[in-house]
Amino acid sequence: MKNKKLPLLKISLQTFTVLAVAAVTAAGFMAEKGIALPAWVPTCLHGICPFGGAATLGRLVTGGVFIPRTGAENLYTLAAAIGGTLLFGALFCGWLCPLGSVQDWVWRAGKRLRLIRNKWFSASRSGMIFKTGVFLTKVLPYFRFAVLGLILFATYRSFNLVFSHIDPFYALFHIWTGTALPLSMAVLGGVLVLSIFIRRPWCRWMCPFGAVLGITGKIAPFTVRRDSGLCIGCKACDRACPSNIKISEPDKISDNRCSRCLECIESCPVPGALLFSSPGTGKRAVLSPARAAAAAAVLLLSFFIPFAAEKVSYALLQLPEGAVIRTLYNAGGNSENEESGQYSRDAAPVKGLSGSMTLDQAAAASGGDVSQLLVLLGLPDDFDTDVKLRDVEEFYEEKSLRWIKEKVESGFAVLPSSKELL
Amino acid sequence: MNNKKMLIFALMLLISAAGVFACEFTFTLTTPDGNTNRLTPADSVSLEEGRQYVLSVSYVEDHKKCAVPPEDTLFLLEDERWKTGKDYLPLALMSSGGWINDGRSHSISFTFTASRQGSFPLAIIRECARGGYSASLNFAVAQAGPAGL
Repeated sequence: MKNKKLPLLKISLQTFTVLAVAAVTAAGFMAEKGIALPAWVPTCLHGICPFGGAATLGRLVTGGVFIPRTGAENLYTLAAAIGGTLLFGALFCGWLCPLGSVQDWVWRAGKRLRLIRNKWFSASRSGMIFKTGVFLTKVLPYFRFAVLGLILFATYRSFNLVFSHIDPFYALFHIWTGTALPLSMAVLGGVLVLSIFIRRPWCRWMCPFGAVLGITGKIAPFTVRRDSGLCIGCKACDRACPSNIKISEPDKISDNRCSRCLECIESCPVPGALLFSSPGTGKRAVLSPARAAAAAAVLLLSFFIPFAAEKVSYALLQLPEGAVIRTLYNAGGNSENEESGQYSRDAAPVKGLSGSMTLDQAAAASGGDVSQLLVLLGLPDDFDTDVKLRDVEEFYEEKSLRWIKEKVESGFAVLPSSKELL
Repeated sequence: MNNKKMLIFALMLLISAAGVFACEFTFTLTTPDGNTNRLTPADSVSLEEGRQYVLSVSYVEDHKKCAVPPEDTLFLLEDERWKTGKDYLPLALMSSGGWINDGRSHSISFTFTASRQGSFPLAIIRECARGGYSASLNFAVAQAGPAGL
């Protein structure tokens, strides 16, 4: 008896994730175009990229700094993904990853439209396997580890997010914004075309994050377990597995290619012969498809906790937007990224003057009035007070930051504030 | 391994390796004796007081339509713009070659003198709503050796 709940639950969760990621990307694009959005709307997904956490980890451990555009929030999402994987295996890959979902949908569409009639492919449900199946299904999956090693090494050496140049995930959600690099779009195009013939080619052969989760998931207590007493050896599970794992042979699946998609369980004709469960034979915990979906949903929501904390602090506690994430960020020892990160929308309260402060902020920090500051610095009344202190010299060459600081320290404190004048 | 397998493997290797070599920012320092060293922002770079160095910076545009021109890249030393004529800065900038643009690749070089002992981070920032870039090169200036090494 096939489990009909599973496909519906999974497609619902996958669709929700894809739409959520697309919505946040769209919000970011709108914000960039100057369209006003409510404060609670997240506008950038950089911060929840778990692979960004993996990429920066080496430099953080050895040098104490994050590589540009990563921060403590990336480490948080990495920890959430790894934590979920340690418990349930690579649920993220099978249930949440938007690129994996889109590859699934392209493959299903290709199958439905009967696009696959090539003699080089066999008619396995798990994707059309080349005649040279062993190479593609058993050898090439290890290429993910080579990609992972190459990227981590290059990121460590170059201090850049090198993966972004080939990242089809970023390209998928940024084609229409014009920000995706041609190479990443070419990779995405290749992946989508291949997906017509082969199930999840990116996930199986290239994905460096899938490699991390695959290895981590090998020790997860919750995995697909086979009851050899009930199994009738029909091999329906083998044919269903998108990663071409031999489900019908071991009693427990600990293969690093398993994405916990549970399609093997869905295809099994004998109830209870295959279960997603913890170890043991007595009171073991069995995750039904609904519970597995709930676990995946919790994992998804946990990725947004830094954002939620950020928005709550902004809405309820009246903290400056960016303060929570910046606090997390600086806790990691990285202050150099503060100014260019997407979260540094306002300068945090500081004790002294800094070049990144605007004239308005500098006046407030000094306990005075901006009009007095303009007078003190010899700037015209209509000078834009949103200009940063260090940028004033772009308008008046002699007014460098050092000059401004000296001027403010020597003169501003003794001037009466506008309230006192009133 | 037949030709088809080799082709698939080579194609995938090429794709992943292409990303590896498409670094965004690279920094190289040429010392007074002509040695060129690649710098990474997490590491400390040792300089000798009173000696002149050349810092070369290059980057590849990170997005298809880059909204920030190279000239808007900020180089900040002690929180202010690193410019010529600011002799009070610990790394006194003698000259800047200006940006050389070659398609999506851009480069610039700076000649400077390490004029004061201490540790000085040089921040490199590209402010952009699409993420931008920010890194810091840490220069440690020490007294020059007796032989001027």
